Amino acid sequence: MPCPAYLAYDEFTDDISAPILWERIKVTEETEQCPELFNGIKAFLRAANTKNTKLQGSVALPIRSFSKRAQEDALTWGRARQEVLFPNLKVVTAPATPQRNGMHTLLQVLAQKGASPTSAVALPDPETECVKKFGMCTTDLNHILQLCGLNPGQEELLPPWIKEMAVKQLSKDGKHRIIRKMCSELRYEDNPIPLFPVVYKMVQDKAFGGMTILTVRQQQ
Amino acid sequence: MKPIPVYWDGDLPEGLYGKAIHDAKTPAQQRQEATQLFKFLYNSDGECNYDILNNMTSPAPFLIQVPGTNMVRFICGIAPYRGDPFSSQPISKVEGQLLGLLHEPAVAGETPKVVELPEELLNLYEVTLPTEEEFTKKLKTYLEND
Repeated sequence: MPCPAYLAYDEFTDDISAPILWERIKVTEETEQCPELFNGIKAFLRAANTKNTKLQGSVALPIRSFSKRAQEDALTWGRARQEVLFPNLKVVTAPATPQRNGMHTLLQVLAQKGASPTSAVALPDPETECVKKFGMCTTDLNHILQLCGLNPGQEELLPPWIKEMAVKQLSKDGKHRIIRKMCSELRYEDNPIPLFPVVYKMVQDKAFGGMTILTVRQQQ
Repeated sequence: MKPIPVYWDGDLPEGLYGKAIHDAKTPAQQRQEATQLFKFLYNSDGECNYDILNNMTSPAPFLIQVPGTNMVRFICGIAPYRGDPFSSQPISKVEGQLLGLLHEPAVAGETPKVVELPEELLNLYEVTLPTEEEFTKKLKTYLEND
């Protein structure tokens, strides 16, 4: 059951009693803002606090899931997954020489960035942010979301190549490398994707909107 | 300056995962993300493509029940394992299995504990549970007798 972490940040370390969490949700005002989610969580917690027979069903996981030693592949997956989800948790080694963190260094950094120390921080424009992050405007992004079977706001679920291709200084060869990698990770083994120049161009331009191969050839 | 209390009882998270999520997302953003995941998983009539979860780059915590107790805990990064289809290695024993990060590491860089979740989690099924009124009544009785 998806649940916002702020309700119990320490549940990552310790277990918490289902009625206690149920009570927390009950007293928070947010329940009215997202009724569908919070009703689902409350129902899950009520079920977790109820002893049911096999016929009545249960939300409990089998004990073997917790006691079983994870396979090597699963541990490798865990390390990689943690690096993606929590990039700041990588091992960071201390610098060999201590850094100068005085006002002088701060002013130097600001000068390099061309900003005045007294200038106000401008709020990011959502359109610019979208172009920066996904390499396309919000209208195109909404269309891509639709093609992926997602709704606006579910950008996190988009295939990773979209963000990878949006890197500003990425060369054409780099883009092709990403496309090759994407096409090598097949979802259906019996449907390989042939990598013709037209395919490269289509993915690069994100032109999935019905342009035929013939039209592309005519343009070339 | 005293930190602004955001956690429900005013404390700030102490664990690594808790801190990372707290620093990265506001409660409103966390609610929105959880709502979208909830809709994605529960409104798709059981025909949900779980492989999409592999594309997620945010932890997206899920609640799970600890076996044999009435306790719950968070698990994050839930996604099915997908090995390299072009690898010459034999297919992994966990191929297609739902995995998740169970415990947050004590120190950064430590390997997290990975839990292999049962296939039953991929299907929606009905469970008998008390209504809100019944549950509240039961809790009150329990507290009065305690």
